[in-house]
Amino acid sequence: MYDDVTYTVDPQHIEGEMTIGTKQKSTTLGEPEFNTLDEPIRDTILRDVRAVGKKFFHVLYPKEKKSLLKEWDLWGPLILCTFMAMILQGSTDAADNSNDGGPEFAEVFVIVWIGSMVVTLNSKLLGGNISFFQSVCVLGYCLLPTAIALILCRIILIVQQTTLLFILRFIITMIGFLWATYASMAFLGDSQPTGRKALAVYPIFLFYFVISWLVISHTT
Amino acid sequence: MDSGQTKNTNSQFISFHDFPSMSHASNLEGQMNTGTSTHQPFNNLSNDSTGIGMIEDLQGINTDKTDAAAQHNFWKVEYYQKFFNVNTNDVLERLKRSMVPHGSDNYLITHIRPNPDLYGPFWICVTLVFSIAISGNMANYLQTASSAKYHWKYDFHVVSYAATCIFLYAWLLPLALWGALKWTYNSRNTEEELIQSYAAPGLLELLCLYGYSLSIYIPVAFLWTIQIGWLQWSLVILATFLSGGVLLRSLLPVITGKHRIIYIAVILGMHLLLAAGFMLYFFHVPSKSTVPVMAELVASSTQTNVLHKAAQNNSYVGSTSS
Repeated sequence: MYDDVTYTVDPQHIEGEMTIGTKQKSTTLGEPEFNTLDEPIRDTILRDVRAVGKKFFHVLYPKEKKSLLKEWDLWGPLILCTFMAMILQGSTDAADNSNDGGPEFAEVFVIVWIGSMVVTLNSKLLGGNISFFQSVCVLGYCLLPTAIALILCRIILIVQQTTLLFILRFIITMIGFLWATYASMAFLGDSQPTGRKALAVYPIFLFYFVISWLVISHTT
Repeated sequence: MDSGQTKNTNSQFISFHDFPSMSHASNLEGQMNTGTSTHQPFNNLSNDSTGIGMIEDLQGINTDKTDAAAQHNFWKVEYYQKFFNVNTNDVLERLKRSMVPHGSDNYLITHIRPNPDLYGPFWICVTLVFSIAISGNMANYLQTASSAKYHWKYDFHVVSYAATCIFLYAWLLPLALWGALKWTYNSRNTEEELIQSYAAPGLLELLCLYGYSLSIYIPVAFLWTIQIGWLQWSLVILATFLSGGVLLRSLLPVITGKHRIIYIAVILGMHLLLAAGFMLYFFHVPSKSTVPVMAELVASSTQTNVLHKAAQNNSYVGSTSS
């Protein structure tokens, strides 16, 4: 808007306009002073990777409440969801009796994405004051503990299974589930009006519970 | 947010606040009116707030505005917030009341009708789907754990069967019942209608009632994992008659007439069929564990499953056509 106005007022200072525009933009967004035009592409990618990594760290150590809510991105959820779907998918080959009854790749994908969208929509409908993609982002990043539990379970599954190892897998999955629920509640818990907190938390609990069920049920 | 807005309108227009309760006894449309009327900005009308004809004026304005607002807001989240306008205590109370038939008060009239919600029905259905899937797999494991030969694998696709079955039941049956009630209501004479204080329930109320009536099957689903035949069957009977009793008590004042016995039979029969179908299909597979070699028994059990499914399908068709 202001660009158009200044262009019409003062058309010969175009370079000056551009620097002013970028400066104003960067100050409004609260970003540090850098120019993305003439930096190496490696820096650009590394900055995004670092942002994703920082969010992962905040999920594992959920102390700062607002850290994950500042800027949302869907990179983390995409990575986690693809990874979990790849590990969890079962083969439906009935021919050589290797049908392990697991979900399809797409089914895990649908459960994670549609599930987090429905949970978010539920909290919006209950009157929570959080934007749609912020909530989807938080729910997706908070899958990290369950994904770690899945990796550990997968490693345990290499050796011959016994009851003791099943109990170990169960404990690991439970820790992942509780961690994920606790982290997402730390980030999303304040966005609900009082008296409805339990109604908004219950679907989150159910979401991670179902994913943890997939993790514990995954066998070779 | 909603309460704040209603408070504002209350303090400015105490006389107007009575209007939504006038259309209170009517069904879904009435409910929509009350819901959207709280979102109306009445501040611009405060200049000419004198005169007796104000209510009529407001009524006219309100109905016009409600249509416009409803169409305008239809694609927005705020339009649907009125279906989720409940607190934790409301939901807990409704859950409790839907499981056990209570003294003299009518569950539909006293609890559902003032504020029917969709939060409970939706999340009860989702919870029931996954609790049936999880406990069904547990039951299957317990059946096969004794025999070391059989390598047990979990079956994720139970989720899709359970989801199809439950969501069909929770949406189609209220729809069919609502249509049937509306159809038989027209044929009744109006004097009887005037004497009776019970109006025909709206679609939203029926959806809410049926959704909450499924909640008893969630704890029962986990109890069904215990592999004792008579216990499973007695749980089926108990759950059906507890929540079916609440359903019948709520709907009995509405379904007077010559079709009454048919309604009662359909409502209770469908509830029983649902419970028995869950139990037989997801939890009760006696042939696999005891004799894994015999192919005949497996075949017969799958046949019974198919028969049960067919019976359920037939009854769906029957209920929708009636």
